[in-house]
Amino acid sequence: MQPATTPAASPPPPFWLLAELTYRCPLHCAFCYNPLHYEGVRNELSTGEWVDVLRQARALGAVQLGLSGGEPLTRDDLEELVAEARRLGFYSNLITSGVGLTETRIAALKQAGLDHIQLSFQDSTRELNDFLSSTKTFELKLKVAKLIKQYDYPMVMNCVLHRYNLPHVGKIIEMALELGAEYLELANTQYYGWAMKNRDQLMPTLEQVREAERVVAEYRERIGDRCKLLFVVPDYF
Amino acid sequence: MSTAPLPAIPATPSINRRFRLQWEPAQDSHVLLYPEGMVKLNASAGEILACCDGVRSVDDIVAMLEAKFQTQGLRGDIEHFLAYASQQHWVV
Repeated sequence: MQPATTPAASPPPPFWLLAELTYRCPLHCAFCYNPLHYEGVRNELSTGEWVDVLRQARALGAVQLGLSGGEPLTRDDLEELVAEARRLGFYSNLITSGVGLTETRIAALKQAGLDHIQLSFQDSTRELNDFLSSTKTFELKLKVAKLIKQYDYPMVMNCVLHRYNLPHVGKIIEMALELGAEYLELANTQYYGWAMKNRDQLMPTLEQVREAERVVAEYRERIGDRCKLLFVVPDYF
Repeated sequence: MSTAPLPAIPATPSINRRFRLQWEPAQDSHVLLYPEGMVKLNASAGEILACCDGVRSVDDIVAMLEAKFQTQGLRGDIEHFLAYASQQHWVV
């Protein structure tokens, strides 16, 4: 028998390993992409199992490691996983709400070899930040942003966008500049999990998205290399 | 690409601490890693950046690479690349 097709060229090695270490999270964001019933999920991988996953991914060629969740800081083995990632040659990115990022932990993570911290905000205002995450965390996030810079990590600030904060995009950029973020990721909501359930409340108008894009383009012109603005376009309207 | 003139080259170029240079066997090349991203370097770029330790001058780097590859006349290419690398903030 002849094979039906000639074998395809081998795909390039994977680039990222996004390790969703846990579903546990102190925030309860209306646009979260995590599944609806995650509070019932407790069978997380153990430290040893994650180390095995890291080694396998590295052997395949993955080089960027995202430590995410849920809130990855709820895992008390995070420092251990970061240290292993560093030994293996990963560039490790902690993707966090900032809740639980004390000075002790930020120093321990630096020691372990963590390369970068991505800190999420829900808005440029305390009111909307706290409303959208169902917590009082705005001041804490500001404090954490200062700690991140104090410990000389590069910082990506992340903000998920939807109908309520799209009109604030200019203010969100101003906040990123003030906090010294090297990158700002403005990510339109992706409708999975909780975001899908709340889609009717979150969905922006086309005009809102276009206006936000215009503001972002204007800031890019103005600020140059000072902070890279990434605008993640919506999947649909 | 910007049309602005390329910036001056630092006297003893070093890798910007916001980037990590490493050899990636899976890519068969040197790469520059930064938050959530990677620049894959061609062989010449990798060789030049690997010499940028903050101690060696551009003269040292030219001499080192000409000796390593047993050739001459690399200065122009090396200076051009280092100016580009400065513009990209890869070296400081």
